[in-house]
Amino acid sequence: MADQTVHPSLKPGTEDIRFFLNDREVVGKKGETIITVAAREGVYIPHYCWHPSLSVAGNCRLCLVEVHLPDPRNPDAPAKPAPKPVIGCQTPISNGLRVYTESKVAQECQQGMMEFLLVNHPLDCPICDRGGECQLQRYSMEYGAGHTRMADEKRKFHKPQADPLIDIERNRCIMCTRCVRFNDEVGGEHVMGVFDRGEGNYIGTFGQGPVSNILSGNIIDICPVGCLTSRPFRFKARVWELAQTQSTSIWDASGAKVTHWTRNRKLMRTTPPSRKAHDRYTVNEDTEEFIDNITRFGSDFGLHADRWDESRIRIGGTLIPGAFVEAVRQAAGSLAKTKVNHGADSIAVLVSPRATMEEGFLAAKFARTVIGNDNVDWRMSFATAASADAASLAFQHADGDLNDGFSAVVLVNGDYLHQVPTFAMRVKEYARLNNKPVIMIGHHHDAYFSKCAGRRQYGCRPAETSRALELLSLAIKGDAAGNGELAKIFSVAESEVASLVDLLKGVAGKALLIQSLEDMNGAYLPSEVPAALTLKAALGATWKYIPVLRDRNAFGLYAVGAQPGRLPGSEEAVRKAWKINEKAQIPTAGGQHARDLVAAIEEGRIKGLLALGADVLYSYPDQDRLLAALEKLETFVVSDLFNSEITRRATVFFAAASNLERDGVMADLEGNLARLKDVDGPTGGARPDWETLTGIATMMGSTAFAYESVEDVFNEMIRLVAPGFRGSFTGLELAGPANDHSVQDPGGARRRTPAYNPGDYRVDGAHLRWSSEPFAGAIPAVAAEAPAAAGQFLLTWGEHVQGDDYHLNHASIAHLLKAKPYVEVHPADAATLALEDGKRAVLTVGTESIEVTARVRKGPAQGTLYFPAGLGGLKLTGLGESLTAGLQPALETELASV
Amino acid sequence: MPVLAHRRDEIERLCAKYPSRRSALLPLLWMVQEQEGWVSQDSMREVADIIGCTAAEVYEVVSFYTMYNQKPTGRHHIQLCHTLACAICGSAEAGEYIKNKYGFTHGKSMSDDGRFSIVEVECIGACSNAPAMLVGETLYGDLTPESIDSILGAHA
Ligand code: SF4
Ligand code: SF4
Ligand code: FES
Ligand code: FES
Repeated sequence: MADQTVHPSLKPGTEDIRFFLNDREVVGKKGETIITVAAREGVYIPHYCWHPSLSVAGNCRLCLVEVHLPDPRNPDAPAKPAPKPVIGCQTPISNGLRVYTESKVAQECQQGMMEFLLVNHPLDCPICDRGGECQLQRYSMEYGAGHTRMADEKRKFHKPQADPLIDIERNRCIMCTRCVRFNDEVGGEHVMGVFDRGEGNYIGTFGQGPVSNILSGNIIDICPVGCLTSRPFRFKARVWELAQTQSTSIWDASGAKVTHWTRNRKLMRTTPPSRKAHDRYTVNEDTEEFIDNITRFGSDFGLHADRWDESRIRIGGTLIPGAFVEAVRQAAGSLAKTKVNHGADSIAVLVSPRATMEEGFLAAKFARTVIGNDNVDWRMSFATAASADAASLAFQHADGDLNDGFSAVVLVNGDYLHQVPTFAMRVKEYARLNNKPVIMIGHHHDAYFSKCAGRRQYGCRPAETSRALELLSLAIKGDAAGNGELAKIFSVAESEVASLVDLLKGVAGKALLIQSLEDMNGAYLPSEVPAALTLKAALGATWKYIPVLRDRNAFGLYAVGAQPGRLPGSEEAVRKAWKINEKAQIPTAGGQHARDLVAAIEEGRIKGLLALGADVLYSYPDQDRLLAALEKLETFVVSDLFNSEITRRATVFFAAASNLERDGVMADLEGNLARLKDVDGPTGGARPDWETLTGIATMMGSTAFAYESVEDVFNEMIRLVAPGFRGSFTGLELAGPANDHSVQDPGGARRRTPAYNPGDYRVDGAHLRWSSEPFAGAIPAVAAEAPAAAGQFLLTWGEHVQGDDYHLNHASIAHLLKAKPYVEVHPADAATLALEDGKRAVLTVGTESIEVTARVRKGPAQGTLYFPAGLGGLKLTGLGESLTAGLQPALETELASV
Repeated sequence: MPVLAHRRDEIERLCAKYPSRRSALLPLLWMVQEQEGWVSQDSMREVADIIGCTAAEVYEVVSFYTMYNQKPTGRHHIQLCHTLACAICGSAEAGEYIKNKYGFTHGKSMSDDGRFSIVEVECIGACSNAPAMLVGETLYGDLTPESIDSILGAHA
């Protein structure tokens, strides 16, 4: 159903159409509907079922408008009123049409429809969680009659609950089907439906199951009434008591923007950015900036009971709370001592992948100027040092931006929906709505894209992915000799390969090559990245490249040089900014790679560690080994939020500021900057990391850390990283109640550009790019795959945003947000195993087994299994070796049927 | 428990008649109902898999049409008309009689021995012989307590 329904307003032609909107002549494009043009022209037409991201349902009838039609035979005659009003959301504009949105007829229609919608509505706003931000309530005031003629008893529904996160109160539903269409079209699966008929009509899920997708929380915002509400937030607060802070997600590397709603500094809920309507900011029912459930429900980890909000110093065996200054003195002293005793190279600095660019920048500066080495890194979660370096190569060539749209997209590997949810959503929606080809190549494909009509899938064995990309680039350059081999790799006919090559060669205009860097095996990335870059070079300059990594600020940390071998800018500029004299060396070589840090500590090469965030250490797969290594350190300074296994081993602990307490900028996958904004400074004795680092550096004798605010750090950083940046720190803030510079939103009218999620907040120049020469390097060979034993599958795995995560583990409803363990199986393998989709199975890796749900789909290549790491507590501690796994259907434990 | 597994060929022939597999939804549900007497949640899932949609979509259709039974039926399923002509001619009394005879109450529409189940339906097009009912697929009109006894008595 949904794959054919293309939003009419998204398929406008090029021909101009002139018509009259409330007697004013306006121009639209052929195929556009009245409501879209009106919204663009600042004329608000009330609507419930119409949503800019969804197909047109035309069922609420609130957008009825009066139209007058010109006489086609006599264009000079005055237009005649149409016999009936028409719905603005579905009626296309035509030349000479006269539309009246506020005439008597239109007003009567609006009043009449409001009365119908309220016939069975409870009308108990005071005890409804939506009160105060309800579109029905608002329209009642604006378009309703103000009284009721309904004297009979109202219909009442039972209230069976299905979803742990979303509450359904059917009596309030107005059957707009926005939620149904959202799940179907954007969420990717028709999990909700309209059941029964007539007066008995209700929305729900099949068999009262949960609305199980990672984007499901968005139906809470787009539901125009109080039918779908957030369970964690229900009845906790009234929206008008809440303060709003516009910020960005710290989970989603797609850079999703959010509004944090707080009361007395306490986070009550997180939604997509609020919008201004009627002089105040409210939740945006027409939002297109959807966020994932982790961002929505998991951002409150800073409130966890294990939070330590005072600095601590180790005295004897215990960490004693102490003043910040004392901790600074202690940290500076121990680091200096370690440096004197064991040399500068014995100290390493680690940065959380969720650190801001300012924090990463200062960490890099600290290592290179105060400590005097190149040992700064954030890349601890990579399988091998080589795969982390491959990721850096990828970043160096990153030049794509989804906001520009695309005429075709190639996805190399990846479980995008579960790693970068809103990025995946934007790719899928753009392709689906604009009917663009989606070509998936590699050993793991994301089933989320299966709703795109123009999708093609080419699966291969993991070890063959880079060869496939290489052969494809040769074929594109005209060398068809490898087509036979390629056909064999993909198990398709040679003609199919030729048609793929033709398709790629025929793409006109901007196109995107997207590659997942989440290869936890580590064995393939070092050759897959160069292979993808070779393909990009072969495809030509119109193809842009976006490497995808789950880590929120990976791109930003790469940019500021928070990793070995990279400086934030040219050496000359850095020397000037950091006041390093001509003769001194800026260390940029021989840095300690985070991935090998544990080994370096074990071998006694690293004696001192400064970690900004314990999460970076937690991302190391073998925690036991890590914890043992931490014990060996002479100095372990960590700035973090929680009392945890890792922080308990610190010699000096700094209470860090949480995601709601610090300020700074982060870069998303495409290099767009977004401002992480604090609500009201840190709690208790917590300090943002820039202050901590500034303190330690100054205490250690540096004069180059004279910052008064994070803005000072930003200014120094951005001049080095993006010399072309013309904006300002405050300019990167989103418009919001506290900071209303620019938003002009006449009651919800929205600008709509062809891109799905237009870069509304993109500030000129706040976009990190490295103009790169086409890649011409060699593609390293992949080690041949060891043959798997009978009944064994090659295991591939990547991270999952709903998996084991240091911050997520501390969220108040973490248990509801974690995904249950599952494994993806190719249909052919499932058939041999007699496994059906959704059935339980036992996955065995080495000596460990875990019960999982089998998901049968053409995601992994035949003979391989895909397991999202971090789900269900199965630790995959293999670092860079290839793993095999067994899979067996679980024994059905038959419950006695009563 | 798949209920259509043994009818794959028939199903494929059916699906082939339509431009899209989804169009086979209604006839597939009929197949299930004819065979099982009702459409269970498991069979909705099965049908969803056959035509490639979600169970929610199948349930939207099943719950829309009252002709699909969402509860198990007896060996003989009685559909008693209660629309105007039948109502005037005493369908309520006929219904009362049947209910008392087999112990049907509100919420209990199947007899204990699983022989009969009952549902009230809208006009079944036999107004000239009101009150009327269907037992299985056979139509009976001009119902009286005696005729009901003999009709239902003949259904073992
Ligand atoms: S849904 Fe809206 S109109 Fe209805 S009771 Fe709640 S606040 Fe009032
Ligand atoms: S629950 Fe909300 S979004 Fe869904 S149909 Fe009802 S009113 Fe619309
Ligand atoms: S918005 Fe047009 S019918 Fe609902
Ligand atoms: S009214 Fe009963 S058959 Fe028509």
